[in-house]
Amino acid sequence: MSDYIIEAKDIRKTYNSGSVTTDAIKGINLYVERGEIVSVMGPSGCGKTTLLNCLSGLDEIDGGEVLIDGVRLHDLPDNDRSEYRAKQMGFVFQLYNLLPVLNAVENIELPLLLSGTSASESRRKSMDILDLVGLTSWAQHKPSELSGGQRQRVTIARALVNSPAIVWADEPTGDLDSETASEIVELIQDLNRRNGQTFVIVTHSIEVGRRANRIVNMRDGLIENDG
Amino acid sequence: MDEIFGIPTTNLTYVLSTIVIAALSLLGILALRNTVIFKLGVRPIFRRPAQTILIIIGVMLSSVIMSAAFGTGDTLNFSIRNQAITGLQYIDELIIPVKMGTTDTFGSTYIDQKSLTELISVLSEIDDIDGIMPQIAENVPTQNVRTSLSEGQMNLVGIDPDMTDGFGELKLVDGSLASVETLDSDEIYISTSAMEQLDGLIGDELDVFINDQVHRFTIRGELQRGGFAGIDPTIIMSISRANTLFDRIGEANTVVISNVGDEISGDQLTEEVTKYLRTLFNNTVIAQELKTLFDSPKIIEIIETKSKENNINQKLLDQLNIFLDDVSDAKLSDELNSLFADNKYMQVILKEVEDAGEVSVSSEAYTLISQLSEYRVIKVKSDLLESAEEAGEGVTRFFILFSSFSITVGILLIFLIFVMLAAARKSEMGMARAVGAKRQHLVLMFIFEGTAYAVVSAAIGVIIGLLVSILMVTVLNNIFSNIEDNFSLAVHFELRSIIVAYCLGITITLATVAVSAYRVSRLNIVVAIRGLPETILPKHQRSFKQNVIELLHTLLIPILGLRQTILLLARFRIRDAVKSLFKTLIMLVFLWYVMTFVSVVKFIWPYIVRGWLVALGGVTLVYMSVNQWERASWFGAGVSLCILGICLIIRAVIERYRLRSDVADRLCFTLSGLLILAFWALPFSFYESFVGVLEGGFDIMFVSGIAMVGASVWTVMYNADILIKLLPLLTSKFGKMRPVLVTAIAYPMSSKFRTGLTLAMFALVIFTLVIMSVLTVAFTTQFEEPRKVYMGFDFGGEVNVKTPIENINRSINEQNSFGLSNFDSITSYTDLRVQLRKENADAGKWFSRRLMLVDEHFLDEAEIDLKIIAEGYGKTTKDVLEAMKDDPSLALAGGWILPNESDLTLEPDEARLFGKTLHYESRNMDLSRLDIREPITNTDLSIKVIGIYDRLHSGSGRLVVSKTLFDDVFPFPIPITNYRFRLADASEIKEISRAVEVAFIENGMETEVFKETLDERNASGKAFFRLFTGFMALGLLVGVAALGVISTRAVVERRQQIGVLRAIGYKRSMIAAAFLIESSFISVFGSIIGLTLGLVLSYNAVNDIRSEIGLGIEYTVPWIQIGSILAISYAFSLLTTFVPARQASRIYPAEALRYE
Repeated sequence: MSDYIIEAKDIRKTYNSGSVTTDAIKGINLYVERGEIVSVMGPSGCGKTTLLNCLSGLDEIDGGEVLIDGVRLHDLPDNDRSEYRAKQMGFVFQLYNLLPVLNAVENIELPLLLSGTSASESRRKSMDILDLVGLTSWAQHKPSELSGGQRQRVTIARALVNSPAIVWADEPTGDLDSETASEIVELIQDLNRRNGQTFVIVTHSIEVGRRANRIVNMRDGLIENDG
Repeated sequence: MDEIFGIPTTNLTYVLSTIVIAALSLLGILALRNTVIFKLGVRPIFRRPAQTILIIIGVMLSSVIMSAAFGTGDTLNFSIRNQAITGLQYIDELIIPVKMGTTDTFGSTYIDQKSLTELISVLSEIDDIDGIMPQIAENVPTQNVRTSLSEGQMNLVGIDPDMTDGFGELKLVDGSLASVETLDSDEIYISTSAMEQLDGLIGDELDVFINDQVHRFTIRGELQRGGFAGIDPTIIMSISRANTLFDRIGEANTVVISNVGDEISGDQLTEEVTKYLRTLFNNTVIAQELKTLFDSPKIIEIIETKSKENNINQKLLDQLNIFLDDVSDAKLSDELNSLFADNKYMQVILKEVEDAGEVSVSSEAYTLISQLSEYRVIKVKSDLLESAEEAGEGVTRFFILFSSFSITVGILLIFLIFVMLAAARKSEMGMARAVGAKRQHLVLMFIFEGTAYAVVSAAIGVIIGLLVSILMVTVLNNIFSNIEDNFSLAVHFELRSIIVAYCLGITITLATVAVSAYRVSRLNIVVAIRGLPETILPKHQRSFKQNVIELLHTLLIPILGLRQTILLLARFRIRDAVKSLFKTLIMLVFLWYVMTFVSVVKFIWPYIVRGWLVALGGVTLVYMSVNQWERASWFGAGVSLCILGICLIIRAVIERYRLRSDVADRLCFTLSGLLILAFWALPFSFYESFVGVLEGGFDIMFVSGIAMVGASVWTVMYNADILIKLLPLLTSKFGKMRPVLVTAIAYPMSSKFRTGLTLAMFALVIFTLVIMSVLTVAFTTQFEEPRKVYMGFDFGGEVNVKTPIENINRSINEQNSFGLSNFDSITSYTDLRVQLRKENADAGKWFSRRLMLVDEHFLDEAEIDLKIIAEGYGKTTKDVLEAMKDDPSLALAGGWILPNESDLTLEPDEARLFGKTLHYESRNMDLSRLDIREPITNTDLSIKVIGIYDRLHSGSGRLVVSKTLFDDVFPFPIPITNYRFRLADASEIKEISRAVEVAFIENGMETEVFKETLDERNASGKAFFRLFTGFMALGLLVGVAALGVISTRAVVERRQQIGVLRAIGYKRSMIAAAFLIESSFISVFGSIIGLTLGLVLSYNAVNDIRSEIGLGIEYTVPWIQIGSILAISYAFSLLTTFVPARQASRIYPAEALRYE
C-alpha cells in the first residue's frame, strides 16, 4: 500500500459558462502523505477550491486521475462515492454551512447517522467531540445562536466525528477574526496530532499556511510551488 | 342573473369594475413614477417560470370558484328562463275560477257561458292585452292504438281558433301553420313530447278516455313545442269539440292572456295588467274591509319592521312599501287592492301579522281574502322567470358558500406565497433598505408583483372556471335526465357575471397581496437574516398618545389636503393647487379608507394582543347571538374569541412576571387551542340546554371548520419542538434513513408560520371533503328499504281523476296476463287538499295540508311505523288501525306535520296545530282534535289525531284519514285516485307493474315502482353531493400547489445546504427522499388533522340532523371514499414535490456549495 493517501495525477478541470470556457485546473500532480497537514494557497481565482472539490470527489474532473487511499474515486457510482465521503472524509467550509434547523449536536451527529451508527452511540460520540472542541454547553443551540468561531468549531466537530481519514477544509478561518482563527488552527493541529488525520486546507491565511506541514502554492490552475 | 347575494348584478359589475380600474390605474401611475421598483417587482416573474406557473395556479383559485359558480348560476337561470319563454311563448297570465260551481266535478271548476262572455268582453277593453283565449284544459288518459303506448296525464287543450290573435302562430314541426278551425271532429294536433311519449306518427289513431267513454282521434299534425302546445305531452283541438267531449257547452276553465309585445317584452306589462285585472275582479267592499282591518298603528309597525330586514328581496320590499304607503290612505288604491289578491305576498304579510301576536287580524284577513274574488289571476310567465332568477342566484350563492373553505384556503395560499417570496428576498430587501429604499417601496415592489399575478391568474381562473361550470352542467344534465325528461341545461354565460368573477378574483388577490406586502415591509431584516423567531408583540411599542395622533392625522388627511389646496390657491400657485387637489382626491377615493383601516388596526392592536379586546368582542358576540340573533355560528365564534382572549390575557400577565415569552406563548396558544377544540367537539345540543335553541346552517360548518383547524394547527405548531425532541425516539428504528427523517421534519418545524399555513390549508380541504363524504352517505342511504318507506307496498299506481276504476279487484280478476294471485295486497286512497286548524281555535289560522283518504283495506294492510300513540288507543299499530276502522273520525298524522322539540320556541306553524307540548320527539300524546275545512264545498268536519307516524315514510307531511268520513262531503262519490300494491312475488315487479299500467290504460293508470324511485332519488342525491364534493375539492388544488410552491422555494433556499449534505455523504436518493418526506409530513399531518376534525364534526352534524328532522339517518364513515380522497391528495402532493425534489437531488455538491 502506498504511503500517499491522496494521489492526483495530471488532473484537469474546465468550466463552460455559455460561450466562455475557463481552464480552472490545467494539469496538476499532487501527492499527500497520511497524517499530513497540507495547506493550498494562492491568489483568488487560481483554482484552490476547485482543486479541493476535485480531489474530494465533490466535483467531476475532466482529465487525469485521483486516488484516495488507493481508491479511484471518480470511477465510483454516485451512491458509492457519497458513502465513501460519509465514512472516510470530513469537510469544513468558510461559511460553516451548518444546517440552520438543527442544533449543534444534531448537526454533528448527521455523518454518524449516515454511516449507520445507532442513535444513542451517535449522540454520545457527538457530545464527546463537542467536548473536544469546547462547546458542550452549546450543544442544544441552533447555529444562529452561536458566534462565528463557535460555528466553525461545530463544523470541525462535524467533520471529525466519524474519524475520517481526510479532512478537507476550504478557508476554515476566512470568516473569523485573527484570534479565533488562531484558535481554530490550533484545534486542527491538536486533532491532527491526536488522531493522525490528514488535513487539506485551502487558505489565504499565511498564519494557517505557516502552521501546516507543507504549503502548496497555486497560480492560474497550476501548482507554482510545492513545499 | 339580475342579483347576486341580493345585490343587483349590474350595480355590482359597475362598482367592482370601477374599483379594479381605479386600483390598476393608480398602480400604473405609481409604476410610472417608480420604474426601478416596478422592474424589481416584476423581474422574478420572468426569471422563474416554473415558480410563476405554480403561483398563478394557486392565486387563480378564487377566480375559478367564482366564475364556475356564476357560470352555473347563469346557465340555470338562462335554461329555466328559456324553458319558460319557449314553453309559454306569448302567454303571460292565466285567469282561473276560484269557486266550485254546481255542475263542477272533483278536481275541475269551470266558468259558465254567461260569465265567460262578460269576462271576455271586459278583457277586450284593456289596451295592454292583445290576446284573449278561453280554453278548456284537462288531463286525460290517452293511448296510441298502433303502438299501444299510453300517457295517463295527457293535456287536452281546446282553443278557440277565432281568438288566436296576439298568441303568435301555431306551427307544425315542418314549419307549416296548424289550422285548428279545419280539424274534423275526429282529428287532433299533438305536441312533439306527446308524439315522443306515444311513439306516434302522423295519421296514427289515439284513444282518449273521458268520462267512461273512449274517443278515437287521428293525429293530423305534430306541433312545435311551446305556446298552447306547451312542453308536456299535449293534444290540441277546437274548444267547441272539447266543449262537447266534456259536456261543457259554451264554458271554459281557463282564460289565457297575452300582453301587448312579443314573448319577452310582453312580460314587462305583467305587473300592470295583473294589477288592473285583480282590481277589476276584486270585490271592492271586501278589499275596503281588508284595508280598514290593516290600517292600525300596530299592523303598520309590524310590516315596517319586516321591510327593514336585510335579507328580503326587492320585489317583496316593493310590495311591503305599497302596503305601508297606501294602507292609511282614505281611498283604496289599485296597487293595494291588487296586493290583497296576491297570494304569495299576502302570505308573507299575514305570517308577520300572526307571528307578532295579531292572530285575530290575520284570521279575519284570511276569511276576507277567501271571499275577495271569483277569479284568480296567475302571472304564469312572470312567476316562472322569477323562479329562474331565484334558482340561478340560489345555485351561485350555494356554490360560493360551499366553496368558502376553498376560497379561504386560496387566500391563505396567496398569503403564504408572499411570505415565502419575502423570505427568499430578505437579503435583497435588506440591501434595498440599506441604500435608501423606504418601507413603502418594499410594499410597492410586492404589490406590483402581486398585481401582475392577480391580473393574469384571474383571467386564466375565469376561463378555467367557465370550463368547470360546463363540466358541472354536464353532470347536472345527467342528474336532471333522471328527474325530468323535458328539461336540460344549455350552457350560457353572461358577460357581466364574467366581469364580476374576474373583478372579484383580482380584488381578493389584491387585498391579500396588500396585507401580506404590509406584513413583509414590517419584517425585521436582522431577525429574518438570523432566522430568529418573530414575536407578535412589537419590541418598541408606540404610546397611546402616538397612536391617537396617527389615527387623527389619518382621519384628517382629506381636510388637510383641502386646506393645502386652499392655501396654494390663496397664494395663486394654481398648478400646485391643482396637483394638491388631485392628490387629495386620489387619496380620498382609494387610499384613505385603507389608511384609516390600517390606523384603526394599529390603534387597537396592542389591546387585541393583550387579549381583553378579543375577550370583550367574544362576550359581545355571545350575548348578541343568544339574545338577539339566535345563530349558532355567532355563538360559537363568540365563545372561541372569549377563550382566545382569556388565554391572551393570561399570557400578558405571565409575561409581566418575566416568564420567558416562548413559554408564555406555548402556554397561551396550547391552552386556547385545546379549549377551542374541546368546545367545538361537543355537540351543539349540549350548549343549547344552557342558552336555548340557536339556529344553524352552513355558516356553522364554516366557522367551526376555521376555528377547529386553526386551533389544532397552532396547538401543533407551538409544540413542534416537543415533536422534534421526540425525533430520536421516533426515528431510531429507521437505520440509515434516520438522518433523512431528521432533516425532513426539522425543516418544516423550524418555519412555523409557513408550515402552519400549509397545514391549515391541507387540513381545511380534507376536513371539508370528509364532512361532505359522511353527509353524502348519511343522506343517501336512509331510504333504501322500499317497503319500509312506502308502508309495506312494492309499487303504487295513480289514475286520472276523471277516469277512476270502478272496482280494481274485479278488473284484475278479469285479466289474462295476471290476476289477483299475483298480489299479496291491493289497497287504495284518494289525495285531497284541505285546510286544518286546532279544534275550536276560532281565531286560529287555517293551514293547508293534504289528506290520504284511505279505504278500510288500507288500514288492514299498511305497515305503518307509529312514533307516538295517543293514550287509550292501545300499544301497537294494529290497535290504532283497528280503532280507525271503527271510528272514521280518527286520524294519523305524518311526522313532518309535527315540529321538533328544538323548534317549539320558534313557534312554527305546526306548533299551532297540536299545541306547544307535542313534538316529534314526544314519547306519548293525548288525542288531538282538529277542524277540517274542505275548501271547494266549504264543508267543516272534525278529526281526532291518535297517532304520529315515522318521518321515514313517504307522505309523512300528510294525514291518514278514513275515506268514509268524507262520504257525504261531496255531492258525488269521491273517486279513488291512488293504489298501492304488494306483490306475492316481488321479483315480478317490473312485469306486473307494467301489466297493471296496460290493463288500466283507459283510466290513465301510471305506476311507480318504489324501489326504482328510491334508487333514482339516491342516485340523484349522490350525484348532487358528489358534484358539490368535487367542486369543493378544487381547494385541494390549492393545497397541492402550496406544497409545490414550498418545495420549489425550498430547493432554491437550501441549495448550499444541499451541497453540504451531499458533501458529508447524503446520496442523491436521500436528498430527494428528504424533500418528499418533508412535503409528506405536511400533507399527512394536515390530512390527519382534517380527517380527525372532519369525523368529529360530521358525527355531531349527523346526530344534530337526526334529532332535528327525526329521520333514521346513520353515522357511517365511507372509508373507501375518504381513503381515496386522502390517497389522491397525497399522490398529487408527492407528484408536485417530485419535480423540485428530483431537481434538488441532481445538484452537484461543488456547484451547490458555490451558490450564495
